[in-house]
Amino acid sequence: MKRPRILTRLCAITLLCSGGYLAAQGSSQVKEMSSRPAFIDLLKRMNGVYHWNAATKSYVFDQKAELERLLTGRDDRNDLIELADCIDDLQPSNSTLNGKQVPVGIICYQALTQLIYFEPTTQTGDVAKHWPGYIKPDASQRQLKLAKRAWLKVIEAGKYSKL
Amino acid sequence: MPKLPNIINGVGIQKADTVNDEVSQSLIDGLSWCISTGMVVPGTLKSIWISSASDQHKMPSRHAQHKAVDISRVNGTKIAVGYPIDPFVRAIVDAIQDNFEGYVHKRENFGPHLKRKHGQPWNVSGHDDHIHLSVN
Repeated sequence: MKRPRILTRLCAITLLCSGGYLAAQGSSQVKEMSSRPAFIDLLKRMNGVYHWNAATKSYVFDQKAELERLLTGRDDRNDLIELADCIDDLQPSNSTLNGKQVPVGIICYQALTQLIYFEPTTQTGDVAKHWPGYIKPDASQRQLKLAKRAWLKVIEAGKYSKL
Repeated sequence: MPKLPNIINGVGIQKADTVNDEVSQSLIDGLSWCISTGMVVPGTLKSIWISSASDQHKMPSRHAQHKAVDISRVNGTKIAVGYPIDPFVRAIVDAIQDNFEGYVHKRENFGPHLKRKHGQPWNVSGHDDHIHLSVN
């Protein structure tokens, strides 16, 4: 069941507001709204591994298909903001790269980039070579912060495309 | 300004709700050049998903110029998910990008398989999750 758009905008991701709204709603909406912070925990608990993939010449998350299942129906603007807002979360997740736990922010980034993408443009109209929103699973704390900022800006401006 | 057809060489052209499908004829010709149902054997390419054409972009973007298109799904499977693990999705994506390199008006050809501009290797971030094709 979809939340009324105006209320969604007002509440954004403010849990306090959501709680007030929930008190007046049915159980299905309580389940939906209360699951938001729980979803990040779900991402945190995923037991994924980043493997080097020769075809893509990059590290690839081996739980993409499972993540896709979890992401079903979670691509509205608030969902995207929640994921982007989590990118600089340094809490260790259960997923690993080279045997080391990656921050939960990397899994949030993984989830976000299975939902949307952004193409930065140069003054000539071509796609720009670099954009701080795109990071690797071994990104530094600074890169994570820059990525979060870049994605939030794009989402707030509605400049993204859904995959 | 022509619109992206619903079928090209037997392949269904599915479009996201947000897509403005008015594009240049040379871009349509480019798609006709590089996709067909039997482009990979075994298997059949039934559909591609256009996630962006001349929408959600501002000038001077090639999208806003009606000269670029993004493909993000093959036969209903997201490239972001299928390319690393599904040999058919990978074969289709690779073939689309390889074929586009033979198109005379090609400009940008960015995707999981190739990142080329004017036929030359090009360093660009992203594009492991979709194919961006643009024309001059």
